[in-house]
Amino acid sequence: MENGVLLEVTDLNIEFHDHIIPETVVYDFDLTLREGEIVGLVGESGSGKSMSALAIAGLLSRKDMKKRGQIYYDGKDLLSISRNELRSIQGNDISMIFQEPLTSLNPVKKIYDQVEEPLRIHTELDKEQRYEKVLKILKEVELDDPEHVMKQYPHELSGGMRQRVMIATAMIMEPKILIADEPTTALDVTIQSQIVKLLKKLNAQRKTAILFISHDLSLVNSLCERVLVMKDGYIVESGPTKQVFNDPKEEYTKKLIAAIPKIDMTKVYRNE
Amino acid sequence: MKTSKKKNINFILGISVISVMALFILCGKILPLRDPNAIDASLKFASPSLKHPFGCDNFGREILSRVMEGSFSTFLIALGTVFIGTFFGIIIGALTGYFGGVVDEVLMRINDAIFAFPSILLALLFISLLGPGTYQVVIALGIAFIPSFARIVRGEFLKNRNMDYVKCAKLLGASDLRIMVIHILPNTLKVLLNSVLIGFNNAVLAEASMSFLGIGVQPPDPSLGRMLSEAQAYLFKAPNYALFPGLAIILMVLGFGLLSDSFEK
Repeated sequence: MENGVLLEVTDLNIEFHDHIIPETVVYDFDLTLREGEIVGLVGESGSGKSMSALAIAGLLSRKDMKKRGQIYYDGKDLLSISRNELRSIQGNDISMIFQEPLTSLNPVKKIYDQVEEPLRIHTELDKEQRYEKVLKILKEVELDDPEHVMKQYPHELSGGMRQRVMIATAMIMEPKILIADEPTTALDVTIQSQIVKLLKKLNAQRKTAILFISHDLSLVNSLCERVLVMKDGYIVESGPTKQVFNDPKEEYTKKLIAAIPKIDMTKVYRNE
Repeated sequence: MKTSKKKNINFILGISVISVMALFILCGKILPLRDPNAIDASLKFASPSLKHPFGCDNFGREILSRVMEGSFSTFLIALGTVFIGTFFGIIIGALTGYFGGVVDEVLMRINDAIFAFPSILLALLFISLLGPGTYQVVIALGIAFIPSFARIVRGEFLKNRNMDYVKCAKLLGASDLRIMVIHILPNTLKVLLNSVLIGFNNAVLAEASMSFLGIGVQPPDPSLGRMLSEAQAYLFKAPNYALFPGLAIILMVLGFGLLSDSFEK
């Protein structure tokens, strides 16, 4: 695809078919994600942010939901390729981290096994090579004492550590796209800023494109180059973050921006 | 704090009772006792004594060695039953719980149909098809036990399949089989362990009742249920004949019951 476009979503519509009357939750969703770019997706709860993200990640059930439109990645339409083909892209090229790191980790498996999982699925590396890689990525997400953390269970870690482990799991295959679905919502503010810095670092070092979903506008403002604003399943406004935040066109965006608390968090995040 | 202490006591008691039973069975295998099937008319209804600690039965057979041997076969049958029930229960429960849809509907309706019959009746049905005998009892009881295990496992899989960690595993490209076996199954073990222990109890009782009805272990081999049913006729003449096999059943059930209690929330 031309000039570094990684992912191109056009006219994505998502319909629920698990009730008698079909219900559309996302209308005409368009998104272009370029290499190394961080794009924000904001909107209130129930606006369809997560649904769009799950669709891109290929996580929506194929049975109960109808999806129309195209999600082009690497010349392939993710909506029409087979389950097996999709599986080779998932985790390998497209990864995702979720809002609640505790439920995203398997409670009965040690951290090492969880971080190692993608290597077992996608690569033929032997035990030592896998260990090396896991150790390296755990260091990279700035976990203290990674050798010890490896042997622990999720419930023994703090929220911030869990989210770091999640990021490690998502990043170990060096995906081209990382979808972050409200990764900091369940964390307190100081940990939030650390996680955001970490995501920024990974983005800068590895050129991973990040789709950052949040309802924290100040975070999005400090992190993302472009932003999409969603409401009731529609994208109501999109464009470079500065433009959208300084000169919002839509009434809804204006209201959202007006709702940001007045402390200037951008300074806190940008002071690196 | 109080509850955890109580749990602990249950655990210790349960383990002790089970150990005593295990030791008892083991003694029967190791000690040079009289052959449980050896008949000696001169010892007919001998009272408990140093030489015959549990006394002798209506054929002059040593009750001690018969109870030991009977406990052993009951234990093995219960183990086999639970194994069959758990193994197929997990497979059916996992498939129905994880995939849902048509597979779920079909398998669970069959399950319901089997569930509708009391397990003893169902086991009787299979015995009448397979003929009486030790292995047949294991198969019959095992099949009768599958539905309850399947239901428990299905519930757990249903609960876990929509959890974030399963979504994550899917996203990492894990196959359905991998998710079921490596991710969800270990999470069901807590619930499964409990039902295995309770199932073990039910299996001990079911085996005893089947032997009592004369369709389990075939004579002259000893079985706790069969001994009880024979002892019935001599309840006043030789109460020790009924007492000891009954005690063995009680201890076995009590031990595993206490253990399963200690694992409960």
